[in-house]
Amino acid sequence: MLFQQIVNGISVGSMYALLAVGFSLVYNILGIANFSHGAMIALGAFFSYWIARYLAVPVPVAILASIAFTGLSSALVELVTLRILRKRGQGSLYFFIASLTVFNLVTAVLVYISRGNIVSYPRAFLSGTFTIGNLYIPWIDAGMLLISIVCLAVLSYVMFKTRFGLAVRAASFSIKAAQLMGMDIDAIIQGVFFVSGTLAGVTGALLGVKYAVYPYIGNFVYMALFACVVGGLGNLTGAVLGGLLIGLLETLVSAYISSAISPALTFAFLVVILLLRPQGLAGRATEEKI
Amino acid sequence: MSFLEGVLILTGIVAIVAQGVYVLTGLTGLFSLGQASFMAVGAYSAGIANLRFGLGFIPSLCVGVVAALLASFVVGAPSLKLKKTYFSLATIAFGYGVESVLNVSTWTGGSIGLIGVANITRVWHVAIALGLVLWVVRNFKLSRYGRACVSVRTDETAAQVYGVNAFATKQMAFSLAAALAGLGGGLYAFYLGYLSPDMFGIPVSSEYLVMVFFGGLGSQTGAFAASVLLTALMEMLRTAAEWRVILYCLIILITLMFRPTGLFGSWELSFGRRRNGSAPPDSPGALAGGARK
Amino acid sequence: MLELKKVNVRYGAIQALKDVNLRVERQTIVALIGANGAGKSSLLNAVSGIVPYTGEISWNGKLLPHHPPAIVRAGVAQVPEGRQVFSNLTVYENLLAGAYVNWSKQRIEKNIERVFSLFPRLKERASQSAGTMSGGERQMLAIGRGLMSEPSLLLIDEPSLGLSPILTTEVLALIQQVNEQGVTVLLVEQNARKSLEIAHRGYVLQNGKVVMEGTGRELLNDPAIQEAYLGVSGCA
Ligand SMILES: Nc1ncnc2c1ncn2[C@@H]1O[C@H](COP(=O)(O)OP(=O)(O)OP(=O)(O)O)[C@@H](O)[C@H]1O
Ligand SMILES: [Mg+2]
Repeated sequence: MLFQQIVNGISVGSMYALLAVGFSLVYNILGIANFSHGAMIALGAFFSYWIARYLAVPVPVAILASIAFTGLSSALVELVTLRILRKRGQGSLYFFIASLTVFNLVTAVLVYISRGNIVSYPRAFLSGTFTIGNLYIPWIDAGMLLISIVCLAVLSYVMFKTRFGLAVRAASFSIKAAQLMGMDIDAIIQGVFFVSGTLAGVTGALLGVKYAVYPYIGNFVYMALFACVVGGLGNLTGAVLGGLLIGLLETLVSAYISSAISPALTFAFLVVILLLRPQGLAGRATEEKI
Repeated sequence: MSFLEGVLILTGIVAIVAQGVYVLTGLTGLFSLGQASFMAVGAYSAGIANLRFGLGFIPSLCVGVVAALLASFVVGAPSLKLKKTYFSLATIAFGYGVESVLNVSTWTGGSIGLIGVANITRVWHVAIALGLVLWVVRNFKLSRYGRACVSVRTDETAAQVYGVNAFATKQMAFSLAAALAGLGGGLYAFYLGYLSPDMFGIPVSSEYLVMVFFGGLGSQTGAFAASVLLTALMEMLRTAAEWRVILYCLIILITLMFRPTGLFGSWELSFGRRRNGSAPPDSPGALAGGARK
Repeated sequence: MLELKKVNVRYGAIQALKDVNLRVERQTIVALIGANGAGKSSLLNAVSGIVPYTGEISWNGKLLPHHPPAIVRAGVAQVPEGRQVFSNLTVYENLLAGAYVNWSKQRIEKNIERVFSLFPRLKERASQSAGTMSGGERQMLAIGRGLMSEPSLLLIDEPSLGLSPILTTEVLALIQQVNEQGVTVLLVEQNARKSLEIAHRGYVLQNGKVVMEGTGRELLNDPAIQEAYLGVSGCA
C-alpha cells in the first residue's frame, strides 16, 4: 500500500518537476515568477483534448501537437508583453503583473468556452494498470514518469551541449555580459519561453489525461512554485528534487490523512523550509533580481 | 437592499482592501498573492464570532481584524527576512493553505461555507470605514513609517545603513495591509450573510494586486480610483457574467502595455499639493539590460 | 579607426555622456581616465550597443549599429568591468561563450589555443568553474574571453580592479602584447599612471565630458593630471 502510494507520488512529482524546471528557466533569466506558465498548462490540457476529440487523432499525436502549440503560445506571450515592456525599459515587475493577468485571462476564456465543465478524453490513453510483484501500477503513472525522464534528458542535452543552452546559462548569470558576447538576448529569452511553454504543455496534457480537463487545471503552476522554493529558487536540479518531494508529500498526505488538507500541509512544509533552509534543500543562494 | 446599495457596499469593501495593497505593494514594494486570504481570515473570524459566539457587529469586526493581524505574523515572520521573491511565494502558499483549511474544517462549514451570518453592513458603515481607512493610509504614507517603507522599497540595504529596520518595516506594512483586508472581509461577511472558500482564492488576490497596478503603483488616489472604477465596471457587467472577467483582464493587460504607470502614475489628489515622484518601484537595472535594443 | 561624434548617453535624469568626441587610431592603445562616475563605462557600453545613445559611433569608417550581436560581429568586443565572467560556467565554457558569434569549430579551437598560450594558467583550469577562480585569474579569463571573437577592437574596462600592483603590471603587459598582435585597444583604467605609460594617446573624462586629450607622455607630464589622477602632490 505504501509502495503503491510512493509510485503514485513519484509520478505526480515528476510532472511537478517538469513544471518547476520550466518555471525556473524563465526565473533564472528574468529573476521573476512567470505566471503565464499556468496558462500554458491549461492550454496544453485543453488543446490536446480538443485535437483528440474533434480531429479524432490518436491521443499521443494530439499531445505532441499541443506541445508545439503551447511552446508557440508562450513565445507569443513573451513577444506581446515582455518584449514591449523591455523595449520601453520597464523591468520585470511589470511582466510579473502582465503574466498574472495572462493567466487569469486564459483561465477566464477557458471557463467561458468549456462553460465550466470537466471533461475527459474520448478515447482511453494509458488507461489500466500493470503489475510488478504485488504492485499495481497505472499505465498513466508509468507514462508520466517515463515522459518526464525523456523531457529532462532532452532538456539537459540542450542546456549543456548546445550553443543555445550555453547562451541561456550565460544570460542567466548576466544579461549584460551575455549581450557583450554578441548573444541576441531577445531571441534567447524568446527561446526560453518556448522551451518552458513546451514543458508546461506536456505536463498539462498528461495531468489532463490522469485527472480530467478543466479550466482551473493551470493552478498546478503553484505546485511548480513550491517545488522551486523547496529545491532552491533558480536551481534546476533542485527544482526536479523539489517537484518529486512535493508530489510525494501531497500523495502521501492525501492517502493517509485527507486530500483536502494536503494544501495546508504543503504550506506548513514550505514555511518550515523557509525557516530552516531558505536557500532550498538543494541549496546555493541566488541573487535577488527583483 | 437596492442594487445600487449593494454596488456601493461592495465597491467600498474592495477599496478598503485595495488601500492595504497600496501600502504593501505601492509603498513597500512587496507583492502578495494572499490578500484575499487575509480577507477570508477576517470574514470567517467575524462570521464565526457572530454566529457561534453571538458577538455583535463591531466586536465581531474587531475579532476579524485581530485574526488577520495574527495571520500576518505567521506568514511574515518566516518569509519577510528573506528575499522579496520568497515572501511572494509564502503568500501564495498561505492562500493555498487557507483555502484548504476552509474546505475541510467543519467549523467554517467546509466547502459549502458559513451560512447565516447576520445581514448588518449598510452603506454608511462602509463609508465611515473607508473614510477612516483613507485617512489612516494617507497619514501613514506621510509619516516616518511611510518614508521607511519607501526607503525599503527603493533600496533595502541602503535603508538599513540609514538605520531603518527593514524587517520590522516590512512586517508593519504587511500587517497593516492584512488588517485592512481583515476589516474588508468582516464587512463582507456581514453584507453577504454567507461565506464560501472559493470567494477568496489566489485569483482574487491577484485581482487586487493588478487593480493597484492599474491605478498607478505610486498613487493612493490611483488605488482608490481603480478599485471604484473596476468594481463598478464588474457590477455593471453582471448580466454578461461570463464575459466580464475576460473583458476585465483585457482592459488591464492593455492598460499595462500602453500606460504602464497605471492610470494615475504617482499623481496624488492631495489638498492642492501635487506630489510627483518617479514612482514605480522598479530599481534601475532590475532587469539588467532592460531597455536594450 | 574608432570615431565617436557628439555621443550623448542619458539614464533618465542623469546625463552620463555629453557630446563626447573621441578617436582611436588603428592598432594603437588609447587610455580613457576619469574619476568614479565620470562616464567611462557608459562610453564603452555605448560603443558595445548595450546602452542607448545619440550621436555617431563608427569603426573603420562604418557606422556601428545599435545591435550588440552585430557590433561583436563587426569586430568590436568588450571586456566588462567587475570581473563579469560567467561564474556559473566553466573556464572553457566561458571561452566558448566569448566565441558565440563564431560558428566554425576549427576557428574556435584555434582561438582557444591562442588564449591558452597567452594565459597558460587558464589551460590548467579549463574545467574549473569560473566562480571559484581568484580575482587575477578571472581578469585573465575576462580578457581571454574577449579575444575569442577575434576582435579588431577591444574595449577593456578597469582590468586592474582588485589586482595587486604586480598583477596589474602583468595584465597591462599582456594588453600591450595583444595590441602588438594587431588589436586596437580602448582601455579604461583607474590606475592612470600605468595605463598612460602603455598608451599611445589618452583622454580625460570629467562629468561626462572630454576635458583633455594628448599623447600618453603629454598627459603624464601635465600638472593638472598629476594632481588629479596620479596622486602627485604639488611639491613632489
Ligand atoms: N544603468 C544606470 N542607470 C542610471 N544611472 C546610471 C546607470 N549606469 C550608470 N549610471 C550613472 O551614470 C554615471 C556614469 O557612470 P559610469 O558607470 O559610466 O561611470 P564610470 O566612469 O565607469 O565610473 P567608475 O569608475 O566608478 O566605474 C554615474 O553617475 C552613474 O551613477
Ligand atoms: Mg566604470
